[in-house]
Amino acid sequence: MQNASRPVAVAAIRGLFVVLLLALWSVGSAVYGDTVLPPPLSIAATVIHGWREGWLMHATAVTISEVVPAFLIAAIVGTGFGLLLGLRDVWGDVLEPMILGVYSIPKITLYPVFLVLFKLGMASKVAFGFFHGVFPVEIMTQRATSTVSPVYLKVARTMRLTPWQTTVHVLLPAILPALTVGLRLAFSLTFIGVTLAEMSASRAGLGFLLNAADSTFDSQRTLAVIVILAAIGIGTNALFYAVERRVSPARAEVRQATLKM
Amino acid sequence: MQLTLKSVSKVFPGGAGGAPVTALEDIAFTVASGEFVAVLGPSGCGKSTLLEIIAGLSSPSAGEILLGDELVSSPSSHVSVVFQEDSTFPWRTVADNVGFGLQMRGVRKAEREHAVARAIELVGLSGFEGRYPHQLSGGMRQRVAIARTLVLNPAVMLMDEPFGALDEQTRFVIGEELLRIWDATGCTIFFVTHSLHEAVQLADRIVVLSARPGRVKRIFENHLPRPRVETEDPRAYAELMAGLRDAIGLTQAATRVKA
Repeated sequence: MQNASRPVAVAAIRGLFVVLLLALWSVGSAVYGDTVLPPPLSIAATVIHGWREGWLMHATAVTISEVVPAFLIAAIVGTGFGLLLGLRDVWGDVLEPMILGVYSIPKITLYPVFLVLFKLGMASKVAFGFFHGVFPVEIMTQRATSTVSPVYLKVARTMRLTPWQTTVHVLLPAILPALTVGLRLAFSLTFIGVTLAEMSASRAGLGFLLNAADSTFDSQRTLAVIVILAAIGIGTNALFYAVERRVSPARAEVRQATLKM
Repeated sequence: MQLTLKSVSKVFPGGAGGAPVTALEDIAFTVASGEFVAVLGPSGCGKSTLLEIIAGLSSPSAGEILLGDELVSSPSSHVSVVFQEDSTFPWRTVADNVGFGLQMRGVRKAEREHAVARAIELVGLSGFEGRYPHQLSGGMRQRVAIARTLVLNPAVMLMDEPFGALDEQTRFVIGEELLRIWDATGCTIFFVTHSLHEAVQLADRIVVLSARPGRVKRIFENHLPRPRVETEDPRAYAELMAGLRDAIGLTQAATRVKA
């Protein structure tokens, strides 16, 4: 019976945390002074101002235009390889530790290589973002594919499905819950990758702006950029969560059933 | 459609330096068109392997399978398979699960509807079209799997211990329903089971396999009147059961325990 009031309570507590965070921020800026840590309201003003003037909007547009293609390529390549390696036991076994190994390298150390290969512009950011994001999709897809119930594949074979039909109508729906988790992680990592690349060497974008503001001790701009980065990260994450909940009606059902007990 | 097994053998290569394992040896019998044949044997006798070979999912090491006059080398569109494991797709509703095969064959939704509704009615799931598998019991999910094969109008139905995971009562009820469906469709049924009662309840002929290697030990004709419950004709029922028990090796096992 507590079901109906539960989401409301959860939302209320979440709201409380946000208020608490803003309060802490205000206290912090009172303690350290406005120049070191400007208060929330003045940052809000800078964000709106920067957006109107165009520099903040332009940087955001540049970053998004790099993140989106990087994410899409990572999603397609990661899912494709994950399916292939998940189905081919031997290649999966051969490559999985190697993929996990590459994944564990601090990738920023490889950025100079990307700069040499793709130059200073957009291409190197997209490539580096892709490199960050492709692994979780590949790993999640491969794991999920190799654990798809063998009886589904037998059904597909006895019904004489084409490889394309088996992939689209059996494999992908079967791994969709895991795949959406992988894609959510991939987006976060792609976003991190692109921002890191912009901070390291670039001429535009939120990462570039952040670096420029930080190196001139412009805490107003620095925090304004951080607010935008946080908004993009939290917003897309919420979007992916909503999709995850939609694609696994069974899990939502189970969750409700356990709550009732 | 008649099913002919011509001295079918299956040898698995021994893993990790072990000797090759002969799972099936010289299996030969015929399932007449429209006949209900059960293959009975202890676990490990290769009965599921035999079913996979007939389904075209696996190839025999020697011998051949004929479906009508045609040699089986890959899955046939005349043959449907119901597996023991839950094979319903959790992301599809009952109706969409049942219509899956037709959809894959390119039949449009409007044209599938009638066949899907009829198959759902045959398995007694009318009213559950919009449900998802996780909202159904194990028995109902197996009915969905059966309806999914019925909708394709198979000439031959291969069933691999389809009710193995169900409790005894549900198993009996769903078995009687399968007989009704068999009557209504006239298809040939090849039914693998390890349950003597189930074999007696369902099949016209019961092929008993021995274990390691799987060989045809005996073939029983079953002429008991339906419904085959012990109380109908206790003597004939007991005789058939005793014969099956003997063939499967349960009598000797019991004597050994006694001694």
